[in-house]
Amino acid sequence: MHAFINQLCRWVLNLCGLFLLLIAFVIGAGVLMHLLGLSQLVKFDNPYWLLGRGITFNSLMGLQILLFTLAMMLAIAPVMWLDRHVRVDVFHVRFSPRVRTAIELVGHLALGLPFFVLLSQPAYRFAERAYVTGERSTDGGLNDLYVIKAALPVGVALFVVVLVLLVAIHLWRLVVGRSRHA
Amino acid sequence: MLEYWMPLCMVALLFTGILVGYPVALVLGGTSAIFLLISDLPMAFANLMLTRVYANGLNNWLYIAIPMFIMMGLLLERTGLARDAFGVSERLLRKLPGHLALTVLFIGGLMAATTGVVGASVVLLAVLALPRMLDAGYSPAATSGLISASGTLAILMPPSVMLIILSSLVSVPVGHLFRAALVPSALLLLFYMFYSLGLALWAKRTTASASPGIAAPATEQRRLWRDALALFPFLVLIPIVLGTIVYGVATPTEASGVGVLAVLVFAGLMGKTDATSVMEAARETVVSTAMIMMLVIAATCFSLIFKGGGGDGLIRASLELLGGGSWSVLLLILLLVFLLGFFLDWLEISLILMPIFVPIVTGLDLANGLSGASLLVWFAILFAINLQTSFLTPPFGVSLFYLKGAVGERVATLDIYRGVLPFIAIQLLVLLMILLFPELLML
Amino acid sequence: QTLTLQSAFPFSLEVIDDSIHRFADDVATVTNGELTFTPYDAGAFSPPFEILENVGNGSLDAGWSAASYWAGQIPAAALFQSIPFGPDVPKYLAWLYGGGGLELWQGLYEPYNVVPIPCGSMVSEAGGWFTEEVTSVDDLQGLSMRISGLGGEVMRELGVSPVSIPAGETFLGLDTGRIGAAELSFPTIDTSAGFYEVAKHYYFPGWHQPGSLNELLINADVWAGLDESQQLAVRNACSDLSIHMYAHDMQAQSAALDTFREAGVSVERFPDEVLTALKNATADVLDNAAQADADVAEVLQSYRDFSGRYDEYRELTTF
Ligand code: NA
Ligand code: NA
Repeated sequence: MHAFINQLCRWVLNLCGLFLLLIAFVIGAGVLMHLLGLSQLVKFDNPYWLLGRGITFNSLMGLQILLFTLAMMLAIAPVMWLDRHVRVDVFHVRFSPRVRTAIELVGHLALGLPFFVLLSQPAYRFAERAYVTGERSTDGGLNDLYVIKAALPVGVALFVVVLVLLVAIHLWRLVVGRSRHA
Repeated sequence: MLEYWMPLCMVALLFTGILVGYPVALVLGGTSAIFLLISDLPMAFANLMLTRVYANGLNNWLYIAIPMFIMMGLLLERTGLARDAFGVSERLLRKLPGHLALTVLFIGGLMAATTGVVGASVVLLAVLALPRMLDAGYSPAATSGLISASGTLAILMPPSVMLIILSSLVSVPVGHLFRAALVPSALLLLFYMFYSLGLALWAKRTTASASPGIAAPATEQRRLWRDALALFPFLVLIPIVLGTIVYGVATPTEASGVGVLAVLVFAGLMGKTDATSVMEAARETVVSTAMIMMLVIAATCFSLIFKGGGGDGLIRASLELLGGGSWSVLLLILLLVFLLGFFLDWLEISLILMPIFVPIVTGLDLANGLSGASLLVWFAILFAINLQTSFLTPPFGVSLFYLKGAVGERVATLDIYRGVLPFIAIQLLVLLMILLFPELLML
Repeated sequence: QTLTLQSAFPFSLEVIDDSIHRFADDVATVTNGELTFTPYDAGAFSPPFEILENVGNGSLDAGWSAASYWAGQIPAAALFQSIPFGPDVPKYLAWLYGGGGLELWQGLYEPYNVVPIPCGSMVSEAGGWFTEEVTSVDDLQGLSMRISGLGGEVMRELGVSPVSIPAGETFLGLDTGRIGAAELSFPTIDTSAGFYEVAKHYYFPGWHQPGSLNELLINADVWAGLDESQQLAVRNACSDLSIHMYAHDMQAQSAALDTFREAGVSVERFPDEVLTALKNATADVLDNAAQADADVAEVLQSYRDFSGRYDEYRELTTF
């Protein structure tokens, strides 16, 4: 189970890495547009999903934001699972494993979960509203901005799942730890 | 003070959570969630939090430079380009005392003049120089202090994201702030150099080992050629990034992407790219950037609830309680920023406090010949130098996190804390100089 | 009753700070302090581009912003901030209050649980800062310009590449040449951005924004909860602000222009050829927008009908 989730996390992080790599190429395309003095990279006769009627410099900026947002929102949960988020370990390293597990458990229940659960419904509404209103950029950039905004509820939901899993694991450890002492 | 129970309790919970070692971002976010639930703020504030996450965090084009500059550094590292280049420069400069430290400062200065965000510089220097400096016998403390401080120069030395934001908060032209920041950042660089030289001479660390990354070539001729080749990408990369900005080809954000492409091209030309190392660099970039963005996201939520609960009133009331004349108000403000810098990052401090401080400062009579716009520029630079220390002050020192994120377990957190102390002292010295001699700013 | 009021524009701009506080003070005075607004700076609670949503859901009681901010979700809203080659401030107010514009505007925001009230005006903007002289339409080919909204779409028709780089990067972009032009606002606001240091050609007229209006957004439930006299106090304070800003700003630009000239800036008008091309492109862009969105078509028709009636008498009486 643990190994499977680890593998899944690595897979997601690789995907996010690809998104970030892609950003460099999208930036390159924008710089090229500027050097060549183009006001549009491509123009379509019929509007396409996400891109609308053409690819402008502002669409390229929108694509960068899209890739960045996707990468970040998909990554924060795996990074939590792999325990790579920043913590101040001055005292942490001196606590016993049992105390550390207790801190994690209390932290997840009292801080982590409330934060992400609180964000979950607004995040869903946020994306839903963009979808329903057909929100698009106002500067000739991307259409269908819900694609960007949908990353928020997805990322928040993944984070909640990871925290719930971690709570279960820590609880299990505490219980098992106690029964051993008993 | 009773009316301020909420911001006070928030600060207390924040301290506690951070110090027991729970992830900082979740402490910030959780504190805001709890106090939203128990206060009489409308629950609709959860929507505010979410829209701030999107607009202040994710939908911010400047932040795209962060993963790009991180990836540049990691690609240089993973493809072996940086290892070769550093090995060579280490050998070439070996006759100078403290040459590795000087190289870090030199590169840090160049990065600072190229980029406007700290994370990129610190991570790049950490990835490039930290292993080499440890190999060369520098203590983990001195190494991490030097790297954090050199990397942090990027936030003060123009172009600087911080100065751009401050200019809009203080309402002075950003060009004026850029010009005014030149001397303070040059002073910092100079003092860092003195310190490093002193350190090197004191410890006689001139006997660094040759790079293990370079195999000994057969002839002098071939060796020279290989040295030049190894240094080439690193030497042209900074001019490429800097040059695209200076010659109007790219904005700083775009230059960061061009930098990534340039590294990929160099590595490809020198036969050093393989899919595995590129993907590894990309994945590590994701982790480092996600750490940072998680903090940005959570901090903007904390800032909202702190303000909603009367946090700015608390600060104003405290200033009035303690303050007397114009100078003591100014010093109190600077002290408060310094202290808050231990726990919050520059963006939150600026956004929360600057609007409160600007009217106060405009009304000060300091009898030092400054008034109007020049007074505000001077104050903004004092504020900026002060905020720069916040990157280095534990437990919430952003540069320290970047460093830790980039080097993992190779350096202990306590060593990092110890290493940055002298640099914090130098920054306070420069702050004092600017405080006493505003004419240094070329207002 | 105390209501939160968040601005979409930074208080660091004097005209913004003065205006929003004038409105709040007026309402408090007229209602004998029974109804007060507490103004908050841009971003204090809500990000500027999320104010409509956050007023609608009740996080904020009220907001002060510009209708074009919501054009992504409500394309027709753009026409209630400014119309390229459209009305100046007096004509705008005439259309809203005398030509049925206001009812259309309020209808657009109904699904968002928000009531908009025209509240404050901005005199005509400048056409923008250019690093090189513009002598013909050809000079615009391939030019990167920081300009947003419908104005940007029109510029694109003339071969310009509109770029939405962040406001903070504009100065550096003009300085290095990464962008060749940028538009911000009218001279007194443009002073604060310092573009006059790095771009020496300041063009007029601001065809993309001949006059613009700000809006007070009030949560519909909050608005319904105010009694008639309180609503009147709010509406009147807004109307007064529109007059006040026009009266104050129209004559204040002269001094700012002098500052620019002293700094070596040449204050010029676009060549007629360029203005004609812009005007033709504007007609196309507006027609396309009307075709793509029924609300845009309706609002535009209302304005054009009104314009015909208004212009005839204005031309007769112009000397
Ligand atoms: Na910099
Ligand atoms: Na700090």
